[in-house]
Amino acid sequence: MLFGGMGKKKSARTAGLAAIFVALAAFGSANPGAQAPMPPQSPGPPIHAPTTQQAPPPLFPPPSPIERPATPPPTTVILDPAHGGQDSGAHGDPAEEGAVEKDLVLAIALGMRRELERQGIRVVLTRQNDSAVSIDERAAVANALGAGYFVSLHVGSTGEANTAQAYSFGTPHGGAPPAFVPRPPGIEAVRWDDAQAGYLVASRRLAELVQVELAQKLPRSPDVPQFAEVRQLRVVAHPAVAIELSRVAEANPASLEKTAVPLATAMVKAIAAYRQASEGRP
Amino acid sequence: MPRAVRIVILLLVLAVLAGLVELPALRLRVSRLERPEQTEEVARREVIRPAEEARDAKKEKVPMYWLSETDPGQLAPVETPLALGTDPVERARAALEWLITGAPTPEQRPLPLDTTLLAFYLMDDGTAVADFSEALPHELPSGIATEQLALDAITRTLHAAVPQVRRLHILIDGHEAETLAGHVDLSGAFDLTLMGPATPAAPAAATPAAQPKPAGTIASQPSEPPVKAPAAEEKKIPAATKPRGGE
Repeated sequence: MLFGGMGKKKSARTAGLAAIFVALAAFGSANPGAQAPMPPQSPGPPIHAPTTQQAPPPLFPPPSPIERPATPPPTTVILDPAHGGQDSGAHGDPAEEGAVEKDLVLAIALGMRRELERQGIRVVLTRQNDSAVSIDERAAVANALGAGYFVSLHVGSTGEANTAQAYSFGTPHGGAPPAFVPRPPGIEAVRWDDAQAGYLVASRRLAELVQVELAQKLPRSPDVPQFAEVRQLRVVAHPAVAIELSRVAEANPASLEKTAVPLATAMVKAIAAYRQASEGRP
Repeated sequence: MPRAVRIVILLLVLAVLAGLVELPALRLRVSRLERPEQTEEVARREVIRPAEEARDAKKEKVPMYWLSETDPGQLAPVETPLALGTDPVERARAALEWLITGAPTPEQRPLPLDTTLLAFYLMDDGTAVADFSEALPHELPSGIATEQLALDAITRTLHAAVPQVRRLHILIDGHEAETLAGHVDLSGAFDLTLMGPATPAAPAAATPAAQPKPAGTIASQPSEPPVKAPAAEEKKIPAATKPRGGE
């Protein structure tokens, strides 16, 4: 799989950032269909078609009309409710009675989608019901989009109740993620398993901004994000963070589902700050 | 008095005398049985201890990366005197087994107590394979935080105890696994050399670890400066043993 803009120079940082810029710019100017495989679209809407799309869009909402250079392209957020199907994720007690991670994250993701769309952000979900979707299938959905921000949602087994920790891909001791295979010289292609390699800086920066917001929205959350070798993040070719809420053994799971709106607001603010920093515009 | 009755009485007296001798001994044995049952854990430790003590020859201080007593969300290495021997594979096995079973309190265990190290191989190029039993993914509380701590405990302890190990593959019950317990990546090899030089029990001088690697490893370096990075954890660990990479 090829990801445009991946530099082969040693200047890793520039290459990573350049990739994002290229991707974002391309998303804004060109027709997204040219960049990545998109599902078949209904015949393009007339240029002056009503642009109010209030109803919840399908998995792949139609791209915004091309002829609108004045407004920036809509931000796309890919929400990834982890687990699903047989894989219930973290659970409160060994008997798997009570709340399980897969249900909580789906409820939170749906709540977040409602709020994000209300604020004018395009949302793509990697699973919409209790179905088993593999890690690579989720990444395929995300990587097929021209540009976006990937947010993997989790509910952990431990930690202080009603707090949230953001993670970006990396090893906690600060070294490079160990398993990325160096590319042979002259090869432009990026291994599927190394898709995140070009976005480590971007993801870390996004995680920092997200964590600042989380610490405000969910008091007692930590102030700084962590690195973790999250399998899902590794194969995503976008700025990507995982957010783990604490915790599944909650007496009242509904209290976690109520975090959807604060989480969505936190993401909106963090992404706005991220774009402002990287593009110089809100 | 008929002779038969006298014989019976004599036998009874003898029986009473025998009882007087025998009963105290019986009581002693019963009271010994009543001692509290050993827990499975204690029993395991007792099985391991003699082996440790047999090689008592020279114990060395090995950092064991157990969970912090005060904050179970972090690792806090404990310098533990262990006789690991000289063979790298034996050292690795002993260190990892002690990591699983030796924690001072159950709350400090980074890995489930039922985890067993089924096999450990070390190749000439420094690539090691550790094969853990199914109990590891099944009994470890699922979650990014818990899984990353378990993984770090394994890699850090192994790195400190067996410097020869450069890369580590982790298998579960003989098979490659995509994740540890649903979140953390197990699909590749963990590069232990990024942790910097390991000199067990020697508080080595800080070394600029984690050299920028060619192409693939991109970017991880410049990512740190903006924030004081993985804050709490970063601060806690270096105090103990060794320099850490990349900050």
